[in-house]
Amino acid sequence: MNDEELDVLVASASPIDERDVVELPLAGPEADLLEAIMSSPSSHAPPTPVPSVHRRRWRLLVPVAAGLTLLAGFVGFQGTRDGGTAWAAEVVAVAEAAPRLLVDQPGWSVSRADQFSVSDGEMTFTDGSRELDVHWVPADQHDDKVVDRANSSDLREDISVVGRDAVLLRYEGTMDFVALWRHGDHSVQARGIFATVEQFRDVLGSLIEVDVDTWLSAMPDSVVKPGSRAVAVDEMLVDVPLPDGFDRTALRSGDAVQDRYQLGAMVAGSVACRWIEVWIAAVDAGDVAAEERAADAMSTSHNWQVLLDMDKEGDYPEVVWELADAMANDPPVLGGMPITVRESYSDSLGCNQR
Amino acid sequence: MDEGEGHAEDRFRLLFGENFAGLLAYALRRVTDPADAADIVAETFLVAWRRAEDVPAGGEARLWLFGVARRAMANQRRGKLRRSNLADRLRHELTDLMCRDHAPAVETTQVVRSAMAKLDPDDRELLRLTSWEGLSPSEVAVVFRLPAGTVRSRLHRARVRLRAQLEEAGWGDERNDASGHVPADEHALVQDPGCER
Repeated sequence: MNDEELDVLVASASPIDERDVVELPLAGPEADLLEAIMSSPSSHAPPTPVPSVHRRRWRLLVPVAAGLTLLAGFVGFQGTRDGGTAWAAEVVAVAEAAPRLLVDQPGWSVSRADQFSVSDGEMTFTDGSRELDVHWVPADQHDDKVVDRANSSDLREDISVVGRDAVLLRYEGTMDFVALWRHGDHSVQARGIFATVEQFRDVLGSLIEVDVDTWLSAMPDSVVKPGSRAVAVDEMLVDVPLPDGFDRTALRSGDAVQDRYQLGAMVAGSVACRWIEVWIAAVDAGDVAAEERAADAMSTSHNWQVLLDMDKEGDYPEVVWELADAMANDPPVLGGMPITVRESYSDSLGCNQR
Repeated sequence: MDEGEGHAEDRFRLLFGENFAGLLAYALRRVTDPADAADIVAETFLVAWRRAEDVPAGGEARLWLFGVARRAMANQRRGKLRRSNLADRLRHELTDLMCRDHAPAVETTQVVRSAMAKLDPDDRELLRLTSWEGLSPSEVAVVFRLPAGTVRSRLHRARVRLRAQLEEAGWGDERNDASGHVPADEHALVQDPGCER
């Protein structure tokens, strides 16, 4: 039975065909679910009142990829200077142009920050239970935004935020609050769900403007702060046994990191690839001690923190562990089938992609 | 997805409409209780709504949804997925429909399912995504967040293991038809424990 025939056989064992699902009379429940979800708050759009056919709804501004400099993509580190941090020029240019706001209250931090350019940006602050989304766009969009949101609001107040005149609105029938103000060349919106308008005002009142260095330093790990790659790599390797001669220089000095998961795969995978190469060489040379040393090192991968962290997001750790177990238990067979570690490790770990 | 519109609500309605049936089928194929499938679908689209900015454009949106659904299902198995009141009507009507229109699985199907049940869960899911959802190895790689090469080698191993399980179950000894072809009426819905409540 070839692969294609096997796939057909597996397909025949599907409990239900998508065509059967399409024919189920679920139009009503499907529509109900759609409206129920869209009536709930999202990170960008306000709740959609139901029914609301005559009400204007705020439209999400989808940043156009072209011309945008993504924070995760542009961050660059150029070393340190006298206890300070030297940011790449393009980072500074964007940071200088942005309204550099932070929530100055105990427990609040930046949980998300992406899609930054000189003209547009967004970030989310959280204290663990509440979130405040802050977006900024060119100032010429300000009046339209205020009018648009006011059409869906049942509360309006004039307040002051970071020394600017702002309008505070509450989306009708919700505790979803938004404040908008002009901030230099930008229109800024701060939005969040709070138990009371007083709580929202309190968080708004704690917004402060900070300098470029402070602002960039407040970015979350998920963004990988400028200059943090080398530190992140060292942290990932702290509990990982390294083969003799393993050189982490390239890992520490690579291009800007966009995602901790991918960096983790690169770091853990580089070590695993090298250990397996050592192991294969030892097997070929009949060097039992070296073979066991490599297998023992890989067996510790079950406790590598970098893999344990990644395990929540994807399956790369399981690939490493599968190979480690095969090396330790019954080499060179994986899973009792004639697929050897030697044959599979490079493709499995992406060793040839580094 | 029409990026030209640039509107979150329009994008979400389109995403929902294009993927509701596929996602529901995905969930129904993997859980025993249709009510759980409704919750998984609701949770997945709720995540997509809340994280609209993270949903990729084009065909990758579907793969992104599968990835979210996979995590929702894992939470559901651990008892961590809450019963969503968003899906009340879907849950009730789906349970009624699935329990009313079932037919028992035929022997061929039972043998294949039994063989798949003996595989490692990841091997099983690789084969399902490939054969049930029709994803290519590159697409499966997006769902699993793995390099495509890794998925290809894993898929190869999974097929080897499934063949071994089928042979162990006597597949090929008594069946000359190894093509896996089954009559159309054998694609029927199946009785699930969740229907007995």
